Amino acid sequence: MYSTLQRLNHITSLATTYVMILLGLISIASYLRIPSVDVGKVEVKDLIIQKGRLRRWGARQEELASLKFDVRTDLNPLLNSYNTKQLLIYLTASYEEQTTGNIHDVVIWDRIIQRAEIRDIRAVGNKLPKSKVGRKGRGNVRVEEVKNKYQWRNPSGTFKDVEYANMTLHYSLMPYVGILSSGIAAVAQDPVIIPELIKR
Amino acid sequence: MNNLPVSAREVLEGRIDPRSQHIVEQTAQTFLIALTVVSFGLSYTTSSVLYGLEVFLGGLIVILLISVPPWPFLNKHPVKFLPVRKLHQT
Repeated sequence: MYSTLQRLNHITSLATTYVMILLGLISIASYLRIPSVDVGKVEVKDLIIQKGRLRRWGARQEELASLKFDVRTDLNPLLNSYNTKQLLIYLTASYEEQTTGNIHDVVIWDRIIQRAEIRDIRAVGNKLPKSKVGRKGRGNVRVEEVKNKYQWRNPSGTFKDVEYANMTLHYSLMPYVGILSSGIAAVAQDPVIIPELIKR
Repeated sequence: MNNLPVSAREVLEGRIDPRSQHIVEQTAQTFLIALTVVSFGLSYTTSSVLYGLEVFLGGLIVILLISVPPWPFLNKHPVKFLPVRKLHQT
């Protein structure tokens, strides 16, 4: 404390320690305070099995499932809660193969919902384009007749051993500071039946 | 720093008396602990992480302004150095 630089050094090092403690308290408090979500609905409209190839080098001809689905859920209480930066929602199909008994979980669609417009520093001073949804309404997920983003294949190459699949929409909450947490945002009412291969 | 002129050295050193040094040390510790608690409480009640961090930064600037520069009120009891004495010739 005997000189200006020494006082500056000492007080700022104390302050960085206390900032870390503050951020730790914020992350613990927000993890204990995550609101619960009303589970929404997933509906699968069309599901067809075709022969196709993945878009990779050396991919074989095998059976791929394509589908169209609807999702309706309201994630606003989760998005506007204390420490949320963004939400990742992803739709998984989980099914069991009859012959081998393996259980598979496949992600077929996902989307990132950000809490606010994250702007680049190069955009400071320019006007934001007017968005259709207000700031508080960004969590209304309402997708209709959407195709799957990722190709759905079975590791054994064929879907003939699979009878039905369960569709669930999960979410992953990413905080500003703290632990990643996840949960279920919407479920399909009944399992969806996997049809026969469409022969061209 | 020894190569600078004396006036520049005094400004950069910013000496304050020992009693004030002790007071500044204690005040900074308690102020920062209280500031952490207050900014966490404010951030929790307003449900905004950024607000808590802004309050912490404001408090930090306040404590830096009152303790880092060598103000006159910190220098009221300067150390009394004894006058130069000549040793006896043995």
